[in-house]
Amino acid sequence: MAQAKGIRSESGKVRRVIVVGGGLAGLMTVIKLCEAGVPVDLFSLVPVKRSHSVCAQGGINASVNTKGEGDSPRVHLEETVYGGDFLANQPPVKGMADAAPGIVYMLDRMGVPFNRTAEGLLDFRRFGGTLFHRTAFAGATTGQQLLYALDEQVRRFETVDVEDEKGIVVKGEKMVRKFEFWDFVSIVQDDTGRCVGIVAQDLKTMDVTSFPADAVCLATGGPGIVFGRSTNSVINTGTAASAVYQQGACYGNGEFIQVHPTAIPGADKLRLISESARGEGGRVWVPKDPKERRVGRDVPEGDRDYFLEAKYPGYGNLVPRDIASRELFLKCFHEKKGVYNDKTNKNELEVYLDLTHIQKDVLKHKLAGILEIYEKFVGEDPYENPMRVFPAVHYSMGGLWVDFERSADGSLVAGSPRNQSTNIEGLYAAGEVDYQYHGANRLGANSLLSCIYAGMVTGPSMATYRKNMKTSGYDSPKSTFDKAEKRERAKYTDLLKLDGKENPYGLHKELGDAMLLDCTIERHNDKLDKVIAKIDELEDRAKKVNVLDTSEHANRGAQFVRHLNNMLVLARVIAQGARNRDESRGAHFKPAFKDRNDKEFLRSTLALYKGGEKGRSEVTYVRELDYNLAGRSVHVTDSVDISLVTPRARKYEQAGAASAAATGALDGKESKKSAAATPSA
Amino acid sequence: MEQKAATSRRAFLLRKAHSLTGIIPVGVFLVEHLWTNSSALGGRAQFDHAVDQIQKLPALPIIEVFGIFLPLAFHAIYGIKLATEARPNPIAYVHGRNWLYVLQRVTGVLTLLFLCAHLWEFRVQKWLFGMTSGAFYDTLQAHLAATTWGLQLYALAYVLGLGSAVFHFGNGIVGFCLSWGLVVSRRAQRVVAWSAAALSVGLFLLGFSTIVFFSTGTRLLPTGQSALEPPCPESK
Amino acid sequence: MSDKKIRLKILRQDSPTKEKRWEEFDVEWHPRMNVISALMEVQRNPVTVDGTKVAPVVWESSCLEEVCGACTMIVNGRVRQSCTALIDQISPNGEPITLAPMTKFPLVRDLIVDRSRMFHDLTKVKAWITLDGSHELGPGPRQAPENQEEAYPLSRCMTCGCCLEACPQVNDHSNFIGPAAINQVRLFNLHPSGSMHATERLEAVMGEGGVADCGKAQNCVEVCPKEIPLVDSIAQVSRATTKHMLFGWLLK
Ligand SMILES: Cc1cc2nc3c(=O)[nH]c(=O)nc-3n(C[C@H](O)[C@H](O)[C@H](O)COP(=O)(O)OP(=O)(O)OC[C@H]3O[C@@H](n4cnc5c(N)ncnc54)[C@H](O)[C@@H]3O)c2cc1C
Repeated sequence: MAQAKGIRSESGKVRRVIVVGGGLAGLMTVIKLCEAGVPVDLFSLVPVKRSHSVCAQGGINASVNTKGEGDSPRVHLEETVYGGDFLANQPPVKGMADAAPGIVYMLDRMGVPFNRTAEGLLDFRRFGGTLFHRTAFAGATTGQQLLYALDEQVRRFETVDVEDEKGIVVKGEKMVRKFEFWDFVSIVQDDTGRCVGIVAQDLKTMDVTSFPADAVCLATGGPGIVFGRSTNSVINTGTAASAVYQQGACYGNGEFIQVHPTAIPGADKLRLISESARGEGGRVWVPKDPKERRVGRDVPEGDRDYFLEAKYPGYGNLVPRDIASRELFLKCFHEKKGVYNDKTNKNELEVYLDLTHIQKDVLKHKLAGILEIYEKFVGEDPYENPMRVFPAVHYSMGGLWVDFERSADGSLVAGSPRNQSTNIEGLYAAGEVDYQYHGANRLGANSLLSCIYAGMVTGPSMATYRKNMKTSGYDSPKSTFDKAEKRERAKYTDLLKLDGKENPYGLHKELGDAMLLDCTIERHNDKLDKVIAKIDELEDRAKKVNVLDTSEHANRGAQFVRHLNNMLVLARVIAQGARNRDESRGAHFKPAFKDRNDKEFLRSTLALYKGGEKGRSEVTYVRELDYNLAGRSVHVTDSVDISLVTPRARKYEQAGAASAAATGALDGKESKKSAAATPSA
Repeated sequence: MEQKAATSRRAFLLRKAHSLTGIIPVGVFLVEHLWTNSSALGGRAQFDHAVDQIQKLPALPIIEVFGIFLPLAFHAIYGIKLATEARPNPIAYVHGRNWLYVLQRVTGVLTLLFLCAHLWEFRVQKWLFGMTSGAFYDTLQAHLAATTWGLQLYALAYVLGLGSAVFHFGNGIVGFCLSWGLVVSRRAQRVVAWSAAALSVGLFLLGFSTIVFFSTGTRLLPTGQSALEPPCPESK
Repeated sequence: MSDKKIRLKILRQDSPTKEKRWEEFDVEWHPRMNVISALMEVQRNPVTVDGTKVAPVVWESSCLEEVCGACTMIVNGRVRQSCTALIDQISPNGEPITLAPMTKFPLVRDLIVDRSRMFHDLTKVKAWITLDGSHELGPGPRQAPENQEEAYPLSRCMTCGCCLEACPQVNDHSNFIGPAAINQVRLFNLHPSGSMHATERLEAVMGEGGVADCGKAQNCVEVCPKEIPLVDSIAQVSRATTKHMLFGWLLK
């Protein structure tokens, strides 16, 4: 067959690609696609301006080295890899660290109101896992500001006309068409398994419709809501990732879930108090006396236990999140030294996060956004009283497995269609939904970066794929789309008929409670077995739910049942992955297997879906994968690319431990030499 | 395209013109009018003199029609259109400024009603029925002192009309300044708001004492504008 | 567990063409409860006070920390974000809480309305920097910290719709664009590169329903959850448009 050429398909339609999700990753992908002349259909559950990325507070990393500390992309790479306990493939991380300064500059040009230095340059602050000022920020609502900047650019492309190969305007077609309030339901695959479109549901009319596409990118964010309550937005159910996983996409490193040390407990959500609070000098402590009755600010210095600073003199309050969370958990849960509450007469699961020693106008200038959240939701004044916080589920390092093509210099081959491709041809993934950049633990302020970087890689990668494809997705047989649409429509109609006794929201709460309790900071195999049994039970009970709402208009009940089923499937991937990994690495901590075990487990967890008995889901873990891409077969394994930074033991007690390059630079030594130091334990 | 731009420009220009005409000439006229009338506080002779001065202005009808009446009519008619487009909500959103917004529209309508009556009372009589400007003083006195069911309804209506007009003018100054972008900063907004309020109160007192004088003969402002000065309205 | 109850009175409507109705629900009180968590309780047990099983109430929400702008509704008669509407504050003595959808936007269902016009307005005022491209072109223009301090509060607008809902000038008899979009004009015209296209943005709010339609009721600043100085923005843009009218239109 001839190569699919030109802007139109054989049937005369403008050939578009689909991006699902309008967070940072999705929007950046869209921008890159548009710049490459590829028209896009953009789908999102909510108006993209309300995507979860708005929540990000603290900032975005880039080793611009404005403070003259000797920071560089090499140090950034090393610290990221070290922070992630060596589970991340290093070429993509290198690509990201190298691109970071350019990304922040681009955002600056887009008008993000980053905080400034006296000289009018971008200001940077400290974040976890590094000693450098590497985090650019816009007050304490950086994610919101970045998302808006990208949203604005995409809105501009909504007004730009599509042009054909000769540069002639295609009448009535704009570069971006938005479908907001649409729920992604599944991808459409042709006979060869190639992804040629999606099925989605309009959340107003509840119509289930298929859309053709030359390629599809999922940028649907994380699955925090699997844990019931988390710091995530309520729309972060991971439903889209779960759906494509069930259609054959591989899910990587699912068990790596980041728990953030400092959040405000709440009934509907655990609201984050960003790491930037500590980056600006905030200190974590508990009273030395577990029965201390004085309120935080009245406890004299000598009666305070700054336990992070004491144990980790090198990084202090800015140790990576997995470590901080474990220490908080240890203090509160095991040692029962959480802040004492007079009313309940017990030590609560809370520690102090103290900013009161910092000048008010500095706080207002740099952290107002988060302090406002504390004030509004707790009703206390964080400028005067130390805040009370506790860890909460925050981020998923795991996600859809995506490929990369390594370049000679150890980075990514620009524009390779393998980059960010899932193992389903034509299906790409970018953002928190991919598993690529953070290994076993993400460093603060690296996620906004990885999302944008992934978008920058995915756009060109999809454009190349589209350019080289033999037949356009638009020219797949109509029956392919009809079949998919019919299948999903039938599933939806079945949902509406569910009239059992179980309340889906109640089941979700049970799932969340089980996952939160036993599948987060500390994991024990016996308890994980119970979690898995609980998931079995919930999957069974989920078949007997009552849909509660049979309305044909804006039905949220039926949609939620679909998401719930998908969450259960992902929960199993997470729990089972945790059960299988008998070691401790980054955010995955098993007291019974305290050490990292590189011999057995320095490898990615690759999960494939299998429908199991009694309609339960089942996971198959594989060591290698073969997939098709543009007519050739690609073979990959679960081994981690550690070609740039050799694994070594991960210790934050000592300053500078995270980057040999940094210490090397400080000592005036060749950075390469020290990078190859101490092999792993 | 061109035409669309033209029509949309019209809306903008009309709004600007509306806000401008409220100040110049209508507002200026209001001040002048209250000032002239307050000359009555200095006695009939002074009042007649003041009125006379105005009557002697060259091309008075032209000034009156083009300088006052037409802009006023435009301000009124366009204002009514704007008022009908508003959907006030001061009960749900109880804020001072929101109440001022409502009052601005209410006083606009009240002022217009009063004005119509007032014009009938004097202008129309003068133009159509031969009333002379010399008769203004007596007519005013007769009307304002009149009682209906023992109440000086006429005078009360005047007070209401006066109140509406000066409020509408004072608050309109603030609106004008914002609308034309003359004030931007918070401080400037505050300064203008208070100054306009002071001006309104001053104008109200001036007008009120004139009304009281005509209706009861009492001088609330004992000095008047002219008790200390010789009658010389040109000085204004 | 306490047995304190919260009563919610909710204005419901199945679709724009169906009847409106009030329904009441009792939910259990718990500490730090807000309107959203109360609504979540209704979801888990959608039974009205008189014992009727009904479809769960639907509403829009996402971040639950007042940065996404999704959950705007009318709580006890006043528009606001419902996530920050803490039960203990809005009903200190257990008074019933009324929830209703915004009135200035087309209704979708129950508490959900369609705010797409606000996003269209952003397009209309060209609320973006016209970028040469996302490729590496070095840093953006240097900016004084004061500049950032002026822009940042303006850029926190979540397109939540509170200002439009409370504005008496925004209604089905007028096509006033509302404070949110005007604020964006100021924001982008402040930016060194944004200001290169200042005139286009000004022209966009000098048409029918433009900045001149502001009625100065100033409810917008009162209800803005992000305390954006909207009136100042309107004043700024008014000044700029006046200048443009005088020197761009009339005297050119
Ligand atoms: C409170 C908080 C603070 C954070 N702070 C920081 C920080 O300071 N620095 C940092 O680097 N990172 C931070 N993070 C992490 C970071 O915000 C996220 O990882 C990142 O924003 C994810 O972006 P995304 O583009 O992958 O997805 P999202 O922003 O989550 O967007 C997902 C998109 O997919 C759409 N979508 C989802 N499902 C569907 C479906 N079924 N159908 C259609 N559309 C769908 C959604 O509508 C949305 O548009 C923070 C996270 C949280 C929770």
